[in-house]
Amino acid sequence: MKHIWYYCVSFVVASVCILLLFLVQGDKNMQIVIVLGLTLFYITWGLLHHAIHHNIPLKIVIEYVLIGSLGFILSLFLFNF
Amino acid sequence: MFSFLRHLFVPHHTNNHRPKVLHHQSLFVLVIALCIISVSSTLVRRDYPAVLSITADISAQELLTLTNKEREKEGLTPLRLNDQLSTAATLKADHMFTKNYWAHIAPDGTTPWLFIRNSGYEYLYAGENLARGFTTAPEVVTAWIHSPSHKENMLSPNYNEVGFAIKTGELTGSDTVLVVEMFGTKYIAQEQQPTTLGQTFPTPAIPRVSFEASVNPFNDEQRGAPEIVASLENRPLIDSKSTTRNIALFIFILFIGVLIIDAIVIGRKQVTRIVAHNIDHIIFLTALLIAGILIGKGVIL
Repeated sequence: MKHIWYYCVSFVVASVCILLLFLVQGDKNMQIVIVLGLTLFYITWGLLHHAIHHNIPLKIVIEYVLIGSLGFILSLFLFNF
Repeated sequence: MFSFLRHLFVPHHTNNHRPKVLHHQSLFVLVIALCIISVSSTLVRRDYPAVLSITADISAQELLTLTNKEREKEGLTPLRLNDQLSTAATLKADHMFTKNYWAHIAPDGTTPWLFIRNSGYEYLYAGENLARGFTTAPEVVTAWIHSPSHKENMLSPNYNEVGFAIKTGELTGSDTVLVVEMFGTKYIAQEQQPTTLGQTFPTPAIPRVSFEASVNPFNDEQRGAPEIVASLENRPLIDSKSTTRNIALFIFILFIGVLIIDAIVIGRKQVTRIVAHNIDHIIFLTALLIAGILIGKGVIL
């Protein structure tokens, strides 16, 4: 766990998003905005981490985009948007 | 069969030490398939609601029974179902769907009390509870009873009558089941002086506005007097809400599980791969899963 601080930031941002989603219950549009924001953060933060500490081949970029897309679309189902 | 499942879900030399479901091709196919399901279910829901739509098993009678059970526990007199208050609740529900808002007071400033007055109910006390997204009456009543302000309305000795509306429609961007509960006590001019309006939502007491007959668009013939004034009886072949939710839950849990297995197995084998960090994916997907489980159910106001 040499990049613990990096994962901590991810964890804190994810927790804040859960809290925000809880606070805007009933407002589906705001919930979509928050889920989209979390998805974009996840992709950006993941790529930034790779760019700083590792290399960043196209394969990695595609993986983050695909998992991000999967999470976002599944959220649309889960939240009944 | 075992080797096929291992190929799908466990890193192995047959899948280049990465579970097949995590390969780009698999993820891409899944994302496209989910997009197609999402679009097609929206179209089917719109054109064939008898096949696919939201459903709920909520009736005014059951809400009344459960509310009165809670009042009975506190030694309070049971509430009577009043058709005028149910009409007011229906007017409020229709107004919320038409104006697309989720609040006690509409964006144009319309208060719940206008709907009560328009229904012909002249009140001494009145109040309102709202719920959306629930599928059964016990869920609704339980949610209200766990909220201090809603519980206060349900167990207020100031009220002796109640009305319900249970309607489905699109509200703030999503199909939902809306439940409106209107409480009231009739104003009797000779016996009681006008007083303050009891609140259902946490606001300061509002002076009772004198009733004006001219604003009442209803008469007895229009209102009718059904005993059970509201229930949701649509029973589509497939309940879109629970079906899509269950699909999402299954895929979320499957992927989080596969990512954890992948991390453990590769960690032990010390295989070098060019992939993204599994922990990133796990944190992201788990956050969405937790949020969906916590807030995917109904909300009250």
